[in-house]
Amino acid sequence: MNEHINAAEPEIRPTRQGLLSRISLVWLVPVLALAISLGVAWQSYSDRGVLIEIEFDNAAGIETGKTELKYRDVSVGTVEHVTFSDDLSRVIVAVRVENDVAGFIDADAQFWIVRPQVSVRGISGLGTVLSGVYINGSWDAKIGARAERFSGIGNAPLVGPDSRGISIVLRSRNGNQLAAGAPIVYKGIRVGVIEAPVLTASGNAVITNAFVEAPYDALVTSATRFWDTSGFELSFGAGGVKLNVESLASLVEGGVTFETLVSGGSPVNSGVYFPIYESEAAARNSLFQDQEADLLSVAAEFDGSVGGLVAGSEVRFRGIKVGEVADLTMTVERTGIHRTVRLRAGLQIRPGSLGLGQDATKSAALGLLRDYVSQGLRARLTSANILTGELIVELVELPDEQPAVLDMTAKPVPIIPSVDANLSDFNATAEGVFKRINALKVEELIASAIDVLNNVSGLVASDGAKSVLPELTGTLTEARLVLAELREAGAGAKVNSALTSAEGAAKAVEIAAGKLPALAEQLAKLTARTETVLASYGEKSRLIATALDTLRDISETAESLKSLARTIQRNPNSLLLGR
Amino acid sequence: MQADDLEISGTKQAVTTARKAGFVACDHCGLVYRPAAGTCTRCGNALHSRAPLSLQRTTAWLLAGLIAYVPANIYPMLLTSTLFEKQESTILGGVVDLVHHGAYGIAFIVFVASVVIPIGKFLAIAYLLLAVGRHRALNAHQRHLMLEVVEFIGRWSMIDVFVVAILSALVQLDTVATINPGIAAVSFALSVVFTMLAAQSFDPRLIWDGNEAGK
Repeated sequence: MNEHINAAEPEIRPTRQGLLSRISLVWLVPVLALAISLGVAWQSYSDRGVLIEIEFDNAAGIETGKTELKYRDVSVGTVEHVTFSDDLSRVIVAVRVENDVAGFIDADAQFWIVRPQVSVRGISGLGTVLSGVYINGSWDAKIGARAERFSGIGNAPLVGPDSRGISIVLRSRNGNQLAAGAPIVYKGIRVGVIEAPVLTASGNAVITNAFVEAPYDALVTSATRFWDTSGFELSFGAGGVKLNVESLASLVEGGVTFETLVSGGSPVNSGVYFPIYESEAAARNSLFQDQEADLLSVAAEFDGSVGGLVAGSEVRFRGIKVGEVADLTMTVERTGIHRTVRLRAGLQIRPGSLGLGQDATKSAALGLLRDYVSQGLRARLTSANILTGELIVELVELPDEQPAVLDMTAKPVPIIPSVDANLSDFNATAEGVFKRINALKVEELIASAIDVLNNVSGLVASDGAKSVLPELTGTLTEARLVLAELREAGAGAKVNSALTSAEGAAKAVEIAAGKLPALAEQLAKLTARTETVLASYGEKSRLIATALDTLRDISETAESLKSLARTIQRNPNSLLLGR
Repeated sequence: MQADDLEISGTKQAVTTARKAGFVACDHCGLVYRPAAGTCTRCGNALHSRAPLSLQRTTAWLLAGLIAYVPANIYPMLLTSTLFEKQESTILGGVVDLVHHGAYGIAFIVFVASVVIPIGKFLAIAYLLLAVGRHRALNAHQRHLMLEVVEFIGRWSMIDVFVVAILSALVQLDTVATINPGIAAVSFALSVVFTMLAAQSFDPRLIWDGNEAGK
């Protein structure tokens, strides 16, 4: 059958011999694909970065493969997986960090989860509402020893690792007013920030890390005192009532301010402890406590009650605070059979305040005090504030007092001689005054005063009064003449004639007095007329003007009456002697 | 007649092949030549009694397809970024997501097109390669059918690539929603192309040679 087929003759070409003819070029494709795949695999393996583990309390919002690690808002890694610690107490988030930043993540790197947050200072992390949370990292720009396990912090650190300034630790008795992020204010300018207050291990104090930014960190020295400006401060002391509100923010969130109260402080290092005082006053007072070693301790003993005197009460010398009361104790003194209780107040006096200069020594101050005492310096209780009954110790100079000396032999401290203060009845007097003021029947008094004034105005306006006055004046002149004569005579012989004259004068007065009923009649008429006048005068303005004039007259009259009364009271003789 | 025998599928009747008779047909224009090698004088196509190095080429393409299929499954196919999140989904991850969303139909289609068919193709071609020259459970006709199915269905594996291409082109709404193809899309497309080439490189006449040998 094959023979019948007339098949075409092909063109014969020499076939290529060799390797290529036996091995297909297509093999290049899988080889190439494998090479590329391996290359890509190797590259992505070597580029995949470093795995670090961060511990958190919880992993709310963290999603494997999605949640990013950001540094300065740039994504530098992704969460690879989330596991628990061995005891299930913490969550360990493993993050694959890019190679080029991995070197910087050393032991002092900090990580926290950024979530939306609303606080007094504003709203932060709003973007994470839509995008989901992310982990923020913070580390310095120095390549350090590689660390792999980190402990995440609860909130964003208030101070970045590269911000310049000084870190200090503030210690206070309680942290009830301070919140993380509250400002540190210096003369009204925000210069730093505080972190969340934490209890010390022993639980008896609260420690707050704080940061004062450069260049203000130079303001913090060893002589700096911090005090709390949280909320508002209402002080009620010797200076009266004082209300101080620092700012609205510090009212809500709390705040701390500071001041370098004395010069000569030395620069401080990071991490130094500062106490937070409750108020500026306490901070200032603390200067005394701080220089306790340099304070001169003396004592003063007082009889009677020292209620109102407390530890911390001021000691003043010529109105200037020179120290304060350190303590109050009672001592029993035995004189014969009697035993008396005396109250001893320990005083601490700053030598520098006595006028000896800042670097005065205690012995110099004591010497000065001894001199003062010999010249009549005494300790005396004085009321600082009538309303609160607060007492202070005042060092007064009473040269007329019986001589006394500073009792240098007294134990444990020298005793300054004291004088009695009439304080005990002062309070009572004040109370009596108040009682009497309370007892005054003010309304009745005013009513009767108005009556009197009405009558007087009528009287003054009447013609009768006008005519009476000259007569009275004449009479008085006569009387004065008589008295003058009397005085000049000086002798008893003339007394009789003088009396006779006086009799005549009295008679004249009687005559004048005899006219009084007529005057009263006239007054009644006047009143009637006034009434008709009042009725006829509808115009109020005029009436008021008249009334005002009248009132002015009355007040002048009253004024002169008062001065007369005063004169009489002061010097009753003047009525007789005309002086 | 022998020609009639060939009409009946699956029979193992003796058939005189062109090769046995010393003829070669041009693959391109069908002109029959007597010698076994050379070039077609009519269309210039190289004449081969059997496609040269067919097994090698098929094996090479198959390996390339397999290699490309690995990153296609490891790397993300779709990069979806919406206002709320960024998502990278691999082929299987996408299927699982679809199942979670209750889209079982689409999940099934994607799974079949992207997983079942490619893997089936790999297995089928590998089987055909191994079966050449040996007697196998499937007879030559079944194997031929298998090759035809593989060649036919190959192009439909591209459905996943098309979906990615269309989505990427359509969903470009900046921050609101953006879809971009991942490395896996390219790998997958390459894998499909390679396996199609593998299927094409396979000379079906080899199946019948095996049939003859097995007889």
